Amino acid sequence: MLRRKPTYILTVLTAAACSFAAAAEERPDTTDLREVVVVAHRPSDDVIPAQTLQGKELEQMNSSSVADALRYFSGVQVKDYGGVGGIKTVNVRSMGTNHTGVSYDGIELGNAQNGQIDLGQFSLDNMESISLHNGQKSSLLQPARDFGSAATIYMRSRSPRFAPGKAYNARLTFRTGSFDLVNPSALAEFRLGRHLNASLSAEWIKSSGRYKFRYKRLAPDGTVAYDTTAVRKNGDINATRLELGLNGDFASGEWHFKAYNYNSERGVPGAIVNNVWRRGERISDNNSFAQGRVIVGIGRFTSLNSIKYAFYRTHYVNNDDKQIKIDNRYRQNELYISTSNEYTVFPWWRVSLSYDLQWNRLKADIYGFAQPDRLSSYLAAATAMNLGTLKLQASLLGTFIHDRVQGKKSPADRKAFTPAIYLSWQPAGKKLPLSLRAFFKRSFRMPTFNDLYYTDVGNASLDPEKVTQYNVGIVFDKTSGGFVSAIRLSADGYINRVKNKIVAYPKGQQFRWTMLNLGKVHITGLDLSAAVTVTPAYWLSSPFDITLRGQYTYQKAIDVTSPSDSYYRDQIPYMPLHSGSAVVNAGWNGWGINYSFIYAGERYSQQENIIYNRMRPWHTSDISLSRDQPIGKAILRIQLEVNNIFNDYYDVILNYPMPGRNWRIVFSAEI
Amino acid sequence: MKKLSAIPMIALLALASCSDDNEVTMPADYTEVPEAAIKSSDYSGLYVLDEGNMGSNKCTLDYMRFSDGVFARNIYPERNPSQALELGDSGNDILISGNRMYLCISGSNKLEVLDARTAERIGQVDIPNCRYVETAGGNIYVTSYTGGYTIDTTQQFGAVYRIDPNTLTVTGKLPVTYWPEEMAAVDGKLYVATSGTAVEGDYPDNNVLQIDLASFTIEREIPVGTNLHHIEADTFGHLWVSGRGDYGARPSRLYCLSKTAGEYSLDKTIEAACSDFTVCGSTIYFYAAEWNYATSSNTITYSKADAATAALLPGSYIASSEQSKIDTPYAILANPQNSEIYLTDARNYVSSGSLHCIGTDGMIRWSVTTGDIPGHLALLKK
Repeated sequence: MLRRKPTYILTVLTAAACSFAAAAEERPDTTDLREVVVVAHRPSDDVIPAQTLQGKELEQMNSSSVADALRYFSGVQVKDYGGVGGIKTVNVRSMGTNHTGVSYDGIELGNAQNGQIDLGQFSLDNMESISLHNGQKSSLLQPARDFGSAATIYMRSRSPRFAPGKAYNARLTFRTGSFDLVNPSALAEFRLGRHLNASLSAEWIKSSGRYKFRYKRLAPDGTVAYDTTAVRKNGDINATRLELGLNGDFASGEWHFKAYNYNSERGVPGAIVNNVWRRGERISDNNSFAQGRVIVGIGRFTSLNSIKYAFYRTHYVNNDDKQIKIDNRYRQNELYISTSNEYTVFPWWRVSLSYDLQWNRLKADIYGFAQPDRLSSYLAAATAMNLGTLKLQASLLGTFIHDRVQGKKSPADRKAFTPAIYLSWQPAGKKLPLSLRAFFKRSFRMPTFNDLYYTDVGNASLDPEKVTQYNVGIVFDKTSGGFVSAIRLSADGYINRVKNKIVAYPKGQQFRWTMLNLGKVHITGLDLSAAVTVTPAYWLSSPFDITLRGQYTYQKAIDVTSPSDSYYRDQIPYMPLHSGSAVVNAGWNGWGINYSFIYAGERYSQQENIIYNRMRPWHTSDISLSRDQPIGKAILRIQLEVNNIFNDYYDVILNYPMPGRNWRIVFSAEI
Repeated sequence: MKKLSAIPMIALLALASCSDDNEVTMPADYTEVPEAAIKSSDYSGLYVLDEGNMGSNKCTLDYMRFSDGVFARNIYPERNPSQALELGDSGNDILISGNRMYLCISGSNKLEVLDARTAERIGQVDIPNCRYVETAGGNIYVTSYTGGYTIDTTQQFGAVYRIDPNTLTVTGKLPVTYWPEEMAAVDGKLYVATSGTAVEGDYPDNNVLQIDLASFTIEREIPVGTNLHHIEADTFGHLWVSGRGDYGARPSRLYCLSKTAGEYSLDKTIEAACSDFTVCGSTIYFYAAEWNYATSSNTITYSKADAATAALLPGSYIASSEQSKIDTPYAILANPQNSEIYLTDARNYVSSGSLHCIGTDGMIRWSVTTGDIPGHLALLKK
């Protein structure tokens, strides 16, 4: 009941999967998706649009971080400041970064300071799957917080599986390439008993972050006005990641424990502006958390209970003699407990109740900083009905926030109730794998500690920023043997309304800002995606397959704050009207080849859609070639990647140049 | 079905081929404003230096030509197409001296030197975090926030740089206190308003520095008020200084310094908030924008003072019906010939601003759209 086993198994890339597939039958069906090697989306059990990348496909995509991989999802824009150490955040369906929840192994990651999760801090090295759920996951048994975000990214690390008679798995990987990259990693998994296993994952990444970038402009008559090539500096990173996982099961359930530490020292490359080619900002992060989950099922009753403690330390320094000196330290603590309980009233009707309690604190050595802490309670009730061809889910989340600040009166408590309703209908039942779906969801984001309490800028009287989403969609999803072994097509149209958007507002005097609930945004979007796997010689025992995936996103996201604004009804910054991606990969007998293409259309760097703010479209093409070679008991793997093969020089964020053509080579050995 | 899936991909490739890899330099944008034409003016026109949001590299230069009222937005790339990354980041001051125009581009750490009539580039002088520029005795002086570190390296003090305009080289650097701002040159002395922000939120200094230009040394510190910013001399022997206050208990004010026994000292405090001011004959026109936490809005005032008596004058110089058309006043300059006032509106700092011309009747005579954060104005003499 926890997660249904996929109803189909693709017979693709079996050669690549051989090292894992053998163990599949031993596992409880709770977390096992490994046998599905290439799936564009989760099975049609989902009422809500969800997109997933996992396993082999993830491995072959030339992606070096979670954020890179998310660029292949429709409706997603990744804000990328460039380079190995550059900050990367995600914006889903133009609603804003802070509306996207990010969950790692079942528990949401938090950043009470600015609400943004830097996805660069998570590695694909031990990642089993990444999913994006618009609205929320189609699950009743989940923490109350998971009912809250406007969209959620679920990252799941690899869970150990052992071939019969094997007590351990081990993998060593070494990546190197452009930007003076040195990136070794190790993964070890141990079977500690019939009902207990452990995994250890460690990674070190070091890179100078140096790459060439180029700014070229033509005069109106077509002659070159200027053509400047320079090297990106102060983008170096030196980071380690350590993860320990323990997984166990018992008669009526299972449990998971995870400890995580990320420690980095990196440069902030900063904006390239006239006469400034190097900056001196540095950020050190030391982020740790420990979390545990227990799932117990007794008869019709299932309970999921979680606990987490997180401690984040950030040290920000500006060493540039030409700039005002800055040296600030931030410390965040988070304590989180959650209980989620599901009851199956009838086989076709389930209900659940979840409650989360969370405490956050931020300390900073900034003059006049309010040193806030926050107690949040989340209470969610949900129900799901499965009426044959019609599936229905509904949830209601209540959020209750209490903040305290030092030396001032605590701001008023905030509360909000946010409902969500989901429907999916298979009009022709099992005869035709076609389903229609629709959802409505309200959600909000709390103002962050920075919005509320940052010295001088913060505004303690801010209201939460609110989002309403309406989505209708259609999915065709068919798996069969034969030439076209799998096909999935989907289209979703949506309308989102963002109000009380928290924006920086000038305080009048000399470039001083404050935060206000001022913005209103209307979003009309269309996500199209298609995935097809063809098996030209499907009768062979080791056939070769070609998988094609494409997605296209249309997003009209306009600022409707006030007709008196010069940017009234203009497209909001950094949101292209058109964007999309295409991926082709083919595998045969241990060989794999992958081509990935990403396109982002014209955007504007500021609110006004005028020529001075226009940013040109960009596209990148990446290619990888891989070979898996069994040697004795081990499987050696080598993968060569060339990214941005057409050497397009572009900015995702204005004045943050992205790398041109670059390459990477990955060696790994697994036993 | 297979063909279906190819459609989005073909569409994508088609879209990709539209991406124009060859970007053209930013064009200037010309607008005709017939009302702005002044037939017999002592001035050829008015320059507007737009700061541009920090890090955006969108500092731009606009120009209103008085002969025919043509306003040109963003003329620098047009006049200097080969200058990589254009004018730069965060323009903070503009000064026209003789045939030259000097621009402090603080985020680009340079003093940009242009031909005042053509806006064509002559050269630049690298000065870190430069703030304001002044000319005196044949030299150029520039204030900077970052002149060096205190002995314990915890604090950065500011500096005044002296530049030889013929060679465009720094000929002297005088360390001064924290965060020096605007300067005024009077009788062989340079007076520097210092904002004094050392520790965030703390304003330990409240002085105008008096620098002797012959020896290039600090002679005196004149106590005035909190967080000083602008300074300008009038024709009555006064020095006018604006102070931003501490945004809390100590309010923003306009101060008048006068000479007793040959030395300037604080004479009068005008009991009204002042963000910036302009001296026009015997009148000081000023405005203030102060954030009001209770109403979550800016309180904006437009006031005037008598330069001779240093007394606040009743009333405003902008009709109240016109005041509502201005969101965020950000720079002010009077035309000495016809007493019209040029006032800019920075709006929300991240969109195009406006330049308004206010007639002597208090009505807005004309308005044009400028670059982002029009912050600094200079009249070009004929």
